[in-house]
Amino acid sequence: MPVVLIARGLKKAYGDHLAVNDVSIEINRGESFGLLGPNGAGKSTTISMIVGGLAPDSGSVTIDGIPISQPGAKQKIGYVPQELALYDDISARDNLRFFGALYGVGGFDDALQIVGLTERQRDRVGTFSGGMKRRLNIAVALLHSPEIIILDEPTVGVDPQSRNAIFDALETLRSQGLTILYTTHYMEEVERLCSRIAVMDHGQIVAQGTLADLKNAPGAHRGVTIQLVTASAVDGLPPGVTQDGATLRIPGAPNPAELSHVLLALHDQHREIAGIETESTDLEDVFLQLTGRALRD
Amino acid sequence: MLKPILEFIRKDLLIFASDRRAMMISFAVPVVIASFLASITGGGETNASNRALHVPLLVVNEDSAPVTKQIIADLGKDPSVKVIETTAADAAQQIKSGKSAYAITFPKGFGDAASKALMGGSRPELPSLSDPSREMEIGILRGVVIQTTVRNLSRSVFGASPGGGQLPFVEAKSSPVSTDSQKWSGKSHAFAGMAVQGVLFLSIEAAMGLMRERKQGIWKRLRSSPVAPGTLLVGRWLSSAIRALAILTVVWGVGMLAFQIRVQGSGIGFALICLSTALMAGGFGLFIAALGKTEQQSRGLATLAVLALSMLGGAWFPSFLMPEWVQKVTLIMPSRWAIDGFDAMTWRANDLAAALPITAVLLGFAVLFTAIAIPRFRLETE
Repeated sequence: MPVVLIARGLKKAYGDHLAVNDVSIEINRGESFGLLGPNGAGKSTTISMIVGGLAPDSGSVTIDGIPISQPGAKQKIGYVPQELALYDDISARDNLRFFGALYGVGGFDDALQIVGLTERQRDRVGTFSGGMKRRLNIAVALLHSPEIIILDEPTVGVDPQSRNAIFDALETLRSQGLTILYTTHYMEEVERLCSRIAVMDHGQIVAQGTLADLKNAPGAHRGVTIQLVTASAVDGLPPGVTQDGATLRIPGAPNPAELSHVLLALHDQHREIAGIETESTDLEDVFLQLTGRALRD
Repeated sequence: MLKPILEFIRKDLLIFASDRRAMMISFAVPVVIASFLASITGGGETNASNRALHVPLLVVNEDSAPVTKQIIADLGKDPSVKVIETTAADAAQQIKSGKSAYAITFPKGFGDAASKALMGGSRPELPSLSDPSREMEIGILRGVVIQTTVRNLSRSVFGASPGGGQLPFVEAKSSPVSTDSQKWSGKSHAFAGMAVQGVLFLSIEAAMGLMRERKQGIWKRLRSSPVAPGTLLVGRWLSSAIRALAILTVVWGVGMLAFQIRVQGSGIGFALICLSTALMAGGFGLFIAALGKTEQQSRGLATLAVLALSMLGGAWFPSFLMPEWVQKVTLIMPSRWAIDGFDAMTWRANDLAAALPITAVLLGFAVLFTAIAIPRFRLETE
């Protein structure tokens, strides 16, 4: 599958603070790529460099092989900033006309239709709800039929209905083959939309792969729990296996050899098992394991 | 390149027109203040300037008589005047352009003829040129000239000061411009000043709009487009200039309809001054936005700057009423040139040739502001 976007070794510092440190991403044509990370991880700075809005201290970005500094590369990108980058005082139609002119396009009916704002196109944007503005924010990025759409937390502060509408629109675009780069800190959004994910923290990519890759990554599993009938100590447990009363815990991914060892020990000591549970892992677990549980402000 | 610029202008005009009340205020404020100032000057069509000390006196000396030289030397000693010897052509030009109020010419043979006139001979002419708009300066200078001339002539003939009687010369007064047209008009000046102040305040609003867009992330979006940042800023400059032109049109329109202000000089020159003032104001807006960090900070500083530009540029009262050094210093201010330009084309009744250098200077300011602003404008928002 041909690669559309290549970002290599992106770095950006503000004074002593290294906001983005050696970030590299490749996105294939037609792929939906999620950039996941807590607040302040460096996602928006990375996106700003990718879309050519911010010059990196080092590193490069190409779109279809064209450096992002060139108009030809920017023409291929549809960018949805985190902010509602719209003019409130004029109509949706006039907003689209203005932004479309920057890309040399005049029509905007398709973009309005995709985000479901055809009926309100002549209304002032200032009269729109937050969700409608978010949808219009996306429509602006679709005006020139870009090859890749880059969305920076496009669902911040919207109600569930609008979020759903936005996702319906994005899924439609994905099904039409549009390449998507999507940043968020909402796990469910990435799980719903993205086929490949990069987790970013402290300006670096700490993990990258498909959802299955991330869930199966070492350290990503919670483990297996064995519930015993009685709470007396079990002898001869392998290293790492812990006992808390009547509960034994084998951390990490299920390992048949290790599990057999524990079960054999229980059998030899005539201990009765009340139940066995595999603790399932979701993206949130992976995310918290990778980025820690400390609050990010 | 042209299409995005045109769309930028269209979009900005739509935004400007979207808040009708704010738009009306932009038009109304300069009109109301100018009307107020015009009203309180009443029929002040012949009000004059008033500077008591070192008032420039242009002297053209074509005479070689010792008494004439003594007259000029004594004039130079008078604390009320500052003698500037020049040629007849330069004197006429300086008065025509409003740089000086009064010039006196000692024609060849004046000293001898005037001395003989004291003894009963025929009286020679003492020609003077003056700017009729500046009666007070003329009054001061004329008084000093007559007093000094008569005193010196009497001393040379009688060895004493005169006791009174008829002047030994005939004053030949004239002006390089028609006295009918070049008549100081407080109304015209009030509208010139407030029009310029109005467009400068509009520049602040344009700058704040730009800074707000940057904060809103709109410039991030614009930067991600294929259009060059310079093109975007030029679009912004022109849209601000068009709004400034609209304000100038309304302010002068009201002045002409309600206060019978007339462009007594060159109509084309007046249009050029309007256009160049509008472009200067557009550039000034970009300049504020480029130098400012936050909207709040910039608004305060820019308001102060505009008030200073307005006051020192002569928007509140004519610059010729200010001390001479202030008049010189304020030449670095675009507001001074714009107001002088409007004065020149309205009540001073100057021709197109007078408008051209002023237009050039205002365009220079426009280019300078824009050239400083574009590379310094912080397009990045991180």
